[in-house]
Amino acid sequence: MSSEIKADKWSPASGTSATIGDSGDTYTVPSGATLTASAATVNLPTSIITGVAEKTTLVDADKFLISDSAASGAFKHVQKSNLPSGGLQLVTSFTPGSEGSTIVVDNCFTATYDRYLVFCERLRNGVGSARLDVYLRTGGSSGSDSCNLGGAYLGYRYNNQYMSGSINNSCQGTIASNVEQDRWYNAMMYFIQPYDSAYTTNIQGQSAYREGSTGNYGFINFGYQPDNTVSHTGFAIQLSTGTFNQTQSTIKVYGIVDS
Amino acid sequence: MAQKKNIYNALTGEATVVDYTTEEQASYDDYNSTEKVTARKLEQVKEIRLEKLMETDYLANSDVTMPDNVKTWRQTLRDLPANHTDEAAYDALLARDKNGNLTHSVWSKP
Repeated sequence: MSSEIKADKWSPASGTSATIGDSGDTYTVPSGATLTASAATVNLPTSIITGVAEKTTLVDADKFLISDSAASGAFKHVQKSNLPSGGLQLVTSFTPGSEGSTIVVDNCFTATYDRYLVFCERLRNGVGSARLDVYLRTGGSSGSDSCNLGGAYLGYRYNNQYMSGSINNSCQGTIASNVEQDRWYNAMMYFIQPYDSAYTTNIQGQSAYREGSTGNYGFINFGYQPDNTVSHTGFAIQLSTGTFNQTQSTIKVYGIVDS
Repeated sequence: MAQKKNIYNALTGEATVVDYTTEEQASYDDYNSTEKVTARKLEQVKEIRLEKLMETDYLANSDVTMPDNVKTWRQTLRDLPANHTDEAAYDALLARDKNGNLTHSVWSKP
């Protein structure tokens, strides 16, 4: 060390501001030393966040800096493992590029989640009074249909009318019956334990639409189970008649995470 | 013409369009055969007829008198399946305007 300044206080020679060194200089506070600015205003460059490397996947041991409202705003850290994590994780979203009678989503069910929420959005049928069905798929990428569903649907529509139907050992379960032509409608479904072959898969959900034959609006609730405990890797929705007459239909699959 | 199936692989992001298999197409064609479509349309006619009849069922109560023209209309509704026997006739009965209202005069209560 060529020289050393010893002083109890630094102050500007004139005015209220002063500068330490020049651009490019580096000043080091040695290990063990303390730099205290606990009640001062400290202006830091934004590059302390944007200038460091990005981490794209959080792990449980990662930490966030917080101001603890229960301890006078003291700095503390929280581990990622202690953050509330319940909610929906988007697994996949698919919008077909062409019209068809069936939309298949394979490989959306994995061991990652036990429960899934599926939205079938902006559906529209090209032919009136068509029925929309759901069925399960197995086998991953080389998926095949799983054909042994049982269950029922029950709904209610304007004019005090019920809508109902049931199946046993069938490929498809109805999720919207007798839908009007060229009318937007939507459906949502839960798939419970679809992948784990130790348990029976459950499909349950609801759709709302305008009926083709009556012109009345209504909804149906539905629930189906396969008669086995096969590992299901995907599902499909299928029209009984005609095609989805547009290409804006979107299937969104969310995995449900425990809190 | 074969029906199309849009298949999406959520793992790879690959989307393909394939024709229905022979078995799938046969099932589709069977469901959409003229006989079955006609039968379903007849069921829809009967469903609407039931709704229309129920709207005037109260006139059959003992404390009210059902007008003759309503009696005649209700009988016409009951005779619909006998007097309408093909798909074109059912289409005419099931026709709706752009607001979804049935257009055939037989559905109008006198």
